[in-house]
Amino acid sequence: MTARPDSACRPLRHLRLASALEGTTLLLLLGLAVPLKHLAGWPQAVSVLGPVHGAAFLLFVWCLLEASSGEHWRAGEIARLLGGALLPFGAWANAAFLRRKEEALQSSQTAADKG
Amino acid sequence: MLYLKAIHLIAVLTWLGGMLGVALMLASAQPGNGPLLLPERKFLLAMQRWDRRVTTPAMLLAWLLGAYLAQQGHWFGSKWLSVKLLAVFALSALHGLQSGGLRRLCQDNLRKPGASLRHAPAALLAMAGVAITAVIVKPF
Repeated sequence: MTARPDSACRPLRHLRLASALEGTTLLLLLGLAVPLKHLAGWPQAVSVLGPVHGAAFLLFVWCLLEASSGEHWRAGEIARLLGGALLPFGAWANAAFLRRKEEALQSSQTAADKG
Repeated sequence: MLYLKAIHLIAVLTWLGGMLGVALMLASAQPGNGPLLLPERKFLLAMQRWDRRVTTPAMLLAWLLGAYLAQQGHWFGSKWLSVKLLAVFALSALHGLQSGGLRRLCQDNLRKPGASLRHAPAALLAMAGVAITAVIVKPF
């Protein structure tokens, strides 16, 4: 009946994946689809990538709220990740932050298991 | 297209039904009553499994089919769809909070529902009402 040892890290891993997906679709939208629309007169790429990025952003927000409400995150941490998601290349800063948080959680779990 | 609409509707009903169950459970959990008894813990874990394996995939399917249907219908840019998307965003955010709250309840083994989730059932019904009204009536 006890939770598996990796279960606390799983939401963070999901959040990291969602953040990478959101950041990649944002870069594709801004770096490829928007120039194609305005410079080459080809709006189809925006009409496809727009909803894809919207869904990826929604997934990121869902994972962020799931992870943060399941643990005890500070409001500043949530705001930092949300801000990073709105900026191009912000997902990479978010990835480093989330990796540090995951490592800290893993080491605290290891210490708790030994203690 | 009609089959896709039907599957979208089934996914939405599954998503909202699952959310309402968790919302009622979290809202009725009382803080400070001591550790959970074994039957209560089993019930919580079953709720968490249902949330992970049924409700969350239904939400993802509802998003994807909804985006596809909106694109096929050339509805992006319509005001009624923007209102619906805002309601879907709020519902998804609430579901994220609920899933995390449910996980914390299972892990901590204590009755500690988040105070912000106390009004989740009413908020859920209100947001679902906005989304459904926007789609059916298309007032804008």
